[in-house]
Amino acid sequence: MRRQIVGSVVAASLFSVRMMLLAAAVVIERLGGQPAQKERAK
Amino acid sequence: MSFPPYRLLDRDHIAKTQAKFERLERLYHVGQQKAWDGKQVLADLLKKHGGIRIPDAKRIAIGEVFSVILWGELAAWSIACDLALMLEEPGAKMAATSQAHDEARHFYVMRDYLLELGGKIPPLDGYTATVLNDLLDTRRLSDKLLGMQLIVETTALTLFRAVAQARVEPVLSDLMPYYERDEARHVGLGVLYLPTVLKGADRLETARLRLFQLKLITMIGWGTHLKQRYFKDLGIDHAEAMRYGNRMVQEAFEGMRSSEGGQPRAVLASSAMMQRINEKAMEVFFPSQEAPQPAWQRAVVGFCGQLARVGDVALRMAA
Repeated sequence: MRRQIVGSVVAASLFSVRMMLLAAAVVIERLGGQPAQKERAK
Repeated sequence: MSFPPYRLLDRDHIAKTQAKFERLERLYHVGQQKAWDGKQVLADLLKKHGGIRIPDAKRIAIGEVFSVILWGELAAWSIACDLALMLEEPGAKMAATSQAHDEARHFYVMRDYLLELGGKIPPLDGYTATVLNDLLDTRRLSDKLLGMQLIVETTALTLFRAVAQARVEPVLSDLMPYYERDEARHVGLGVLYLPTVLKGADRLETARLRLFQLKLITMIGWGTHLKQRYFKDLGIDHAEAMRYGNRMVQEAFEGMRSSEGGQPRAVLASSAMMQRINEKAMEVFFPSQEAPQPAWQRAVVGFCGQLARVGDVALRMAA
């Protein structure tokens, strides 16, 4: 039970962090940064 | 449920279900035809390549990545046995039984390979341990089928393909196509039977299943961050591997849609928005190792690596 609770809390925290980082990355890109993938595609 | 289920002998029932589950039954027969002798295959490959001769850095990296596969195969073996017990339709039961036979072979061949490789095989990381324990502990058929057949098996398939393509180590790379071929059938069990299981899911169950998948995918993603440097040591481009894995999940989903004609809403990959977020996340968090990355992206990837280690410690402590 303890493992399941900690697992869910860790998963929810890491998911939230990832979504925040992802949102920040989108903003940075829009502000002028060039993502590596698009660079390569060119 | 009372035993024996006499309806299985009823001609009308057989006629009604046979067409529907014929392809599942075929998985069993194909599995039987294509079963390979693990002892013989490994011995032949070791002889062909003159044993395993690799630098220590690669040996450590293989141990790190393939301890996940070793214990994953053991869990898959137990889960396939659970499925064989839980599934009622003979075709599906046969497919799960065939899978259990395959997974037993995958486990002992990988164990023998790792013993031959030598060196210390590290314990399982916290993320993979959580995913596998969740799937082993659950009594829900839908969780086992979705989690193991659709998410874990496609992840394993992706890794097998990447290891084979990167020619990581000749014996291991030549072994991977044997695993890959079997795993494709295991994904097939999920694709063919999940729509039947998920058909009756109400809104609450759909939401629960989506959260469950989100948890598994999050864990696997962060587990990949944790192993990032080992993938690099093995020459595996995880960006390419992730894209391939994503295509696999989409193909599985398409197969499910065509097999039932409807849209299994409980499957997370079915959402177009989730798909867009997923593609963006792969682009940002798992950039190609060859392409130059801007400073902000290097910082994000580095931060994720550190955070992945913190999460790993927390999960190991809770285990």
